[in-house]
Amino acid sequence: MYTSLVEVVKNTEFEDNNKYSQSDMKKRLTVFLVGMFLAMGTVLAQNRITGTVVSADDGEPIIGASVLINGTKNTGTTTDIDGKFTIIVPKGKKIKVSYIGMKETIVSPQNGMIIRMNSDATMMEEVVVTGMQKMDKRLFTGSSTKISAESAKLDGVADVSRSLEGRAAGVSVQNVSGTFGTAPKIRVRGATSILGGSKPLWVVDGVIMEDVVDVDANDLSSGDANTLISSAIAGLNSDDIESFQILKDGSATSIYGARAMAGVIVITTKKGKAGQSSVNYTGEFTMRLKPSYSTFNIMNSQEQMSVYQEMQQKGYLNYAELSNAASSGIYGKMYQLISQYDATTGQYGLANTAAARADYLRQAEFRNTDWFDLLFSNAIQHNHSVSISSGTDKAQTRASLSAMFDPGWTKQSNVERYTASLNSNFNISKQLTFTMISNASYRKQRAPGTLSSELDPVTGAVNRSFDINPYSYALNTSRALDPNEFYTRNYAPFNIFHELDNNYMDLDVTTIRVQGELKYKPITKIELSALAAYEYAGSANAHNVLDDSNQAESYRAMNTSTIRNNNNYLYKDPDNPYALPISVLPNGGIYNKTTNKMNDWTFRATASYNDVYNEDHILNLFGGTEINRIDRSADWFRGWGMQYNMGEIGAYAYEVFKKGQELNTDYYSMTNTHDRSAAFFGNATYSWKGRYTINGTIRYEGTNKLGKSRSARWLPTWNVSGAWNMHEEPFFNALKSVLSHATLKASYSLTADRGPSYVTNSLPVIASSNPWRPFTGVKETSLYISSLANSELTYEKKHEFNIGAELGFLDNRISVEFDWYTRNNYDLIGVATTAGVGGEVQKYGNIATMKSGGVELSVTSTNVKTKDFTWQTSVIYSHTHNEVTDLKTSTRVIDLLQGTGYSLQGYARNSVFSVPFMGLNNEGLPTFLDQDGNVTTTGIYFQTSDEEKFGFLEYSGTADPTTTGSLGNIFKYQNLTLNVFITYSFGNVVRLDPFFKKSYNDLTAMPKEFANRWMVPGDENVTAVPVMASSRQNKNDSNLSYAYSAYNYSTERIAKGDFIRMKEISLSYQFPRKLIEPLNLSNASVKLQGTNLFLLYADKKLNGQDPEFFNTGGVAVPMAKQFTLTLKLGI
Amino acid sequence: MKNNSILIFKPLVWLALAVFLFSSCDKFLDEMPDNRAEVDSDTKIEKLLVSAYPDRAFIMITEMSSDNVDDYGENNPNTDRFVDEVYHWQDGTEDDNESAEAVWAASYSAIAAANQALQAIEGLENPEDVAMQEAKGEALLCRAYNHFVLVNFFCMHYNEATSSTDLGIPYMEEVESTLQPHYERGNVAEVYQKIERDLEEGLKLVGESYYEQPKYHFNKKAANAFAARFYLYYGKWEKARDYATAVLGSQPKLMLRDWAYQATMTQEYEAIVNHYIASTLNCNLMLCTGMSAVGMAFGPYMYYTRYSHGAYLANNETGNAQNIWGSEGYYSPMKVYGATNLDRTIFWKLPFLFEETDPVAQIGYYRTVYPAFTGDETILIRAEANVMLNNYDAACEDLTTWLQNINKTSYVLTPAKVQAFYQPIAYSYDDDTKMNSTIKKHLNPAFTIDAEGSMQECMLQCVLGFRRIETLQTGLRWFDVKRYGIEIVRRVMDDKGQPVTLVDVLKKNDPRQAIQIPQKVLSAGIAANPR
Repeated sequence: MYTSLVEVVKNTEFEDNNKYSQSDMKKRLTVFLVGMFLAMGTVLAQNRITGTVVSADDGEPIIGASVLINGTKNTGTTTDIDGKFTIIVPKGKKIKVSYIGMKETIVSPQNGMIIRMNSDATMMEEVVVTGMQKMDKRLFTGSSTKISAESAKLDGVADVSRSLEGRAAGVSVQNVSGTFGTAPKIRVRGATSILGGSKPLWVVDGVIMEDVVDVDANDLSSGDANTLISSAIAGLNSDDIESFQILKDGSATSIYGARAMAGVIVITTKKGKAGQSSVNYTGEFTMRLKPSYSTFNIMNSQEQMSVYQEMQQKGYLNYAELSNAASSGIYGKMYQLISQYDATTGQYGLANTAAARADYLRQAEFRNTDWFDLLFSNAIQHNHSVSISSGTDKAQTRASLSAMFDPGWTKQSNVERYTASLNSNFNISKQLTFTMISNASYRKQRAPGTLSSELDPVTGAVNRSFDINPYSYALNTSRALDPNEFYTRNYAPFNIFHELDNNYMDLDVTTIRVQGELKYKPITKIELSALAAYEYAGSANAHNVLDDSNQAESYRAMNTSTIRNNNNYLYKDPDNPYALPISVLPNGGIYNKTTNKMNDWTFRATASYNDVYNEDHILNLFGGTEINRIDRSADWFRGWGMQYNMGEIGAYAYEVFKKGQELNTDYYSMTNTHDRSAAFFGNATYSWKGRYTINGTIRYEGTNKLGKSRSARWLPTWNVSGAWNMHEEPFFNALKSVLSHATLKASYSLTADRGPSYVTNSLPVIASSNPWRPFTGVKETSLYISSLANSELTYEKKHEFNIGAELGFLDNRISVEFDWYTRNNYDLIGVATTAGVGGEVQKYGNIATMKSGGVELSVTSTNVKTKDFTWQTSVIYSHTHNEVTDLKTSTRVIDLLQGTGYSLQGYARNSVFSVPFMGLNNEGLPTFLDQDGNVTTTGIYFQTSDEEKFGFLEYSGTADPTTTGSLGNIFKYQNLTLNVFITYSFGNVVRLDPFFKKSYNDLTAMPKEFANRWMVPGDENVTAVPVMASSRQNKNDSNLSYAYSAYNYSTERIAKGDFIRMKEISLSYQFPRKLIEPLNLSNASVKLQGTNLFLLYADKKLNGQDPEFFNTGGVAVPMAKQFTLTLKLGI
Repeated sequence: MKNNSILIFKPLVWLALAVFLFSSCDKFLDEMPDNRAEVDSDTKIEKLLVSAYPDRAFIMITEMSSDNVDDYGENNPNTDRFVDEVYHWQDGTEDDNESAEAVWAASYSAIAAANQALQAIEGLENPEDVAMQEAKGEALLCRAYNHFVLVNFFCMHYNEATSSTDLGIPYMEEVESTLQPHYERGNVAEVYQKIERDLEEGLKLVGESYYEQPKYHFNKKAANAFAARFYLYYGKWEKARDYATAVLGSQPKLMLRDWAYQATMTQEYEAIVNHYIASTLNCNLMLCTGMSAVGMAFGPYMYYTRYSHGAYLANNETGNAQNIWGSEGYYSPMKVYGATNLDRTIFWKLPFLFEETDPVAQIGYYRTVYPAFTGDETILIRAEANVMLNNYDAACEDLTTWLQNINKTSYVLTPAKVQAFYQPIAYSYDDDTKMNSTIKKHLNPAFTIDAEGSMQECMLQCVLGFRRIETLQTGLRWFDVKRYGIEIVRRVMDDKGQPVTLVDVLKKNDPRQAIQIPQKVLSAGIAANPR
């Protein structure tokens, strides 16, 4: 009663008194005392009405809508931040609700009523959720796209981030690996940094989601084990997500200023609604297709064996070489069988006769092993989720559970994931509301055992020891091998199926997120909010190398004295001059354990003020402060001699520690990092009649990341922007029959990022180490300067100018959004080449600048709309380009040739260069144009960093796509919906697999183009595939590896990365109510979806290689072609 | 409502709150982002000085640049681009763990650690404590030594006449704290003066009280040995002699390598080379480690065999050549290897070892350990200083001690015998082909020595010859070549291992004696060595 009277007083008597100065308050109080009595009298004759104004489109409240008594000009109120209003209405009067961009609504008053307003420009969403604020879309001046989770969701793809591909202009999603838990490479408006990840910030329900481990954007494609925990949101159940809001330009992201340089993706989870109770079940059943050799360019076993025959003629694959070789296949096995005497039968494994050998090889010739069929599976992945939603005016709750079971597309790749979430909102009093969100997930995953890959700087080849990735195994292994046979790898017996069973990783990932937010409204126009959130993420990765695995066995392979001397995995005691190599792993296997933990606390306090003066002047103020604390810890341990077969007991040889000390090898490690940040921010928006809006934001942020220097840690960021809602202009009415909506926007901003996580040296970084020493007796520990101080270290920054237009035609049947932006990225961290006099020749520092820009266009159109049939089309196009304008760094030729790209001044970031191929010579060896303008075979200097010698390299293009987008069509006929969704990506180049070598072994599978290789003089006129070098050629020229490396990096071995992909075809059916009501269901639907079905276009040179995917082995597999059946039931 | 409103809109309250928040934020942000250390205690300063020694070796470049190797021809495939360039005195283009850039960075990195330690000592409450004074001594010695390596490697050798204009190297006395500061090279004379200053102060302070591994630090004897070598290179003969005496003490033989004992050991390569670098030996005054393939390049491996200390060099110039003591052999004779593409005659000295950062993936670095200072080299320093001081008898006494220690001979050198033996021998490269070898080479030092054939010149030939044998495969010969302006050749050997083609000559003042500043450093604005 007390407050409502004040409202009455305020709204009736002092309508235009909105200034809350101290003196005003005093005045108001006295007036209140007088007015109380006056008001008392009228209350009896009037109805006090409380109601809520929401948008009909999405049910979100409308803030600041004007609620008037129909027929009056000034008698009324405005809605608060929740869309609520209270008004005293004389009997018999109606109320009129109006809001900019909405159709005016006149209704009869009724207490507790919800007034749904329809937009007069239906394409507009009403609210932009920036994570911190809900902004009225009409007053929003930034560039942003809202995607409803329902329309974007890719059924059967558990990681929601992948579903953003092609959904928003300016957002590119590259599925560099399809393994669950690995993050796709997501870019919002392209790269913003030279070395940094340019990874967008994920904000879930207002809180920034942090990664457990920092995996650099390039490392996402590495296939290393830590990519399995690179996705910050793999623990989110896609069924819990309401919408994505992608904030693109500086105006939209500026509230996150010093972290938001690469864009922000805001996820809003589903909430319970008042007055609605429902239980929903969603089940997804997914079958993935096995890859097939028919789509790849791999030799069959017959072609393969003929190549081996040629190798034998050229002096390879002979008995002497293979019997003690580290790795061998068909031929090595043959020689082993020949010398293998079975005492019981009195026979050799294979008779040493020409006929027996020929017969053995003939069997191999007809074998045609289908590794894909054997290593992959069609087993069904299924995901079940159940949610309950309920609510009253006092409290609303939504709870959900989900469980996903994936038996694995490949062997040893099964996943189970469980999630739970609880989202509750309590209206404690009229002024006080409390929201609680909690979310937990647990993931149990198995993956083939993998070690980290290493780049050989001399040849540029990427190596991974003991790689057993099923996909790359199937692609790279000769089809002549018998899948049931053991061949030789690292001197020990090897069979892929046996190895996968005995060498695997078990991953446990847990995330828990709890957050609470208290909102307090002392008066209608002011809202105070306090939010506290805590997140825990933990992962444990146990890499089990079992007793019988090839990896363990190779530590004790010493069958012959030659092998004993050559096997590097054996250990020779330096203290004993007579020592023979021994095994440090006489029994058991190797148990490796890596754990990562993250604790993340966020506290935020904000205040907002919303007001409308005289109906014409709209003012929103928002400000607050946030502190954030993240502690991460990682530890690693390697246990030697774990006897998995003997009841899991560790039985290690003491020599393993002696060897470790002598070779300076860690057997355990620990890393703790601590992030602290604090920020103050404020935002002001003013709009006149909703026609002209101006907006400004300031954020002042500090972090400990740049080190303990107080000068470097603080950074202010800001933006100014404006919008012109042309359709609100009186003159626009004449156009409205055709052009129903038109908004123009412009913004200019400064945003920033902290740069790569490893650059923290505003003060010197002193680290500890164990310097290498030859013997255990002379070891000591040390401290050393791991990074010299750089007092000039600062944030990476970006100025951005954005112009946007939103147009709606024919009553918004066709809507068009267009954005153009230009960016100046500066203070970017690069590798500075210094005089080295401080002790480091190359140092990280803010030395680079980059210019970038782009255009974005999205068009949606409802082509046909009848009672039964609708057809909607959406086209999304975005183009981004960048150029590194200043980067004085030292680059080697080899860096410029890598398929991942490298940044060179004057070129796009991540540019790829190639060695100019000049045809084959009369020996079949490749020739190139070299740094001095001569034609050469082995004279390419990969390591030179002399920039004057870079001129000969040919620019091939960039590694990042420049044009991305999609074409979607949705056809609805009654309850049937057909969705055909095509994504495309253009503008990048891809390095073909670096297949060519100076010599090959009898395990490798060869591409079919190898059949066209140079065989006899004269072939150089018809083929560009170089000769298989004979052992004599190799002996004569020890540098031949340079020729083959150069060929792998030549203009001949590069392809366009362009593709058009049939991303999704789905057909869904919504059961009619009549049918399901007897079953007590409120809704039921079924959907069949095909995902990633085929490529409509890709460069022929790729020969089946997926242009999005980096085949780097380890845990990387491409996205599968899959079919998903989805069943949805609701009560 | 009233109270709330007032609280919210009172500017003073807000301001106070903001100030409070802001100052407490700064404290909040002082948390270190990772487990880095702050050098704020005695122990941490001592540990920091462990990294004030270079972890790279200059040996590969200086040995391959010197006259201790010949080119066995382009049909020998055991080489790479890095060593091809080094051998031919070309400016380096290749990245390598032992490239000029690695030497440059490793030395300056060690200097940075020393400077950081000195800065930290200044910041302590009790910088005058004994341990911290000793630490200051060690830091100064490390700073001096690393600059000494740099100036001799990258500059023309010190000489009185031209060093005040010869390009030096920047002498770092502070820790770098900005991204790309500009440096001037200064001149060689300045660098030598600063080394002398740091060395003298360091010598006064240095102690051994806190060393866990004294042989991997500047212990007192190592510091004196460094001073002896420094003054020898500086041409200050008395000081060189005196500091050498401080190392050798009254019974110099006890400070020499026990070659006789080594001969009784099992003649296994790995056993011998591990013994060679043992920290328990008196002769090993200070040991350094380096990422280096010298163990392979100068060991019994088919590695870098294109450029090799072959039989021709051994038999005509170095260890196995006809020499003053006659035919008696070494306790540990040079090992002779011959095969296709292999002509190598070596002492077993530096080991080839491996640091394995990941034993499962087999990733790591080649490593070696080398004695930075030895008693054996120091006794030859004293001999050389005495020759320059015209104390020939004293010099002969040291030469005899050295000789009888490495060789089974009982031959005693006298000045007269030295002159008698060396005077008639022809000089290398004086024949028609300009590339044939003898054990003598023309000396053209910047300082004055007596004429060729004089007693002093013959004594110098003897000392330098002994030094060459002593320092074979450890990279020091190159500095003797520079100090004495010795002209050396690049020649190709035929398949019989005899010189066949003369390719290049390093003249006495050849600018290529100063190894070129690394490419990246040049691009950062450091002046290049003239070519």
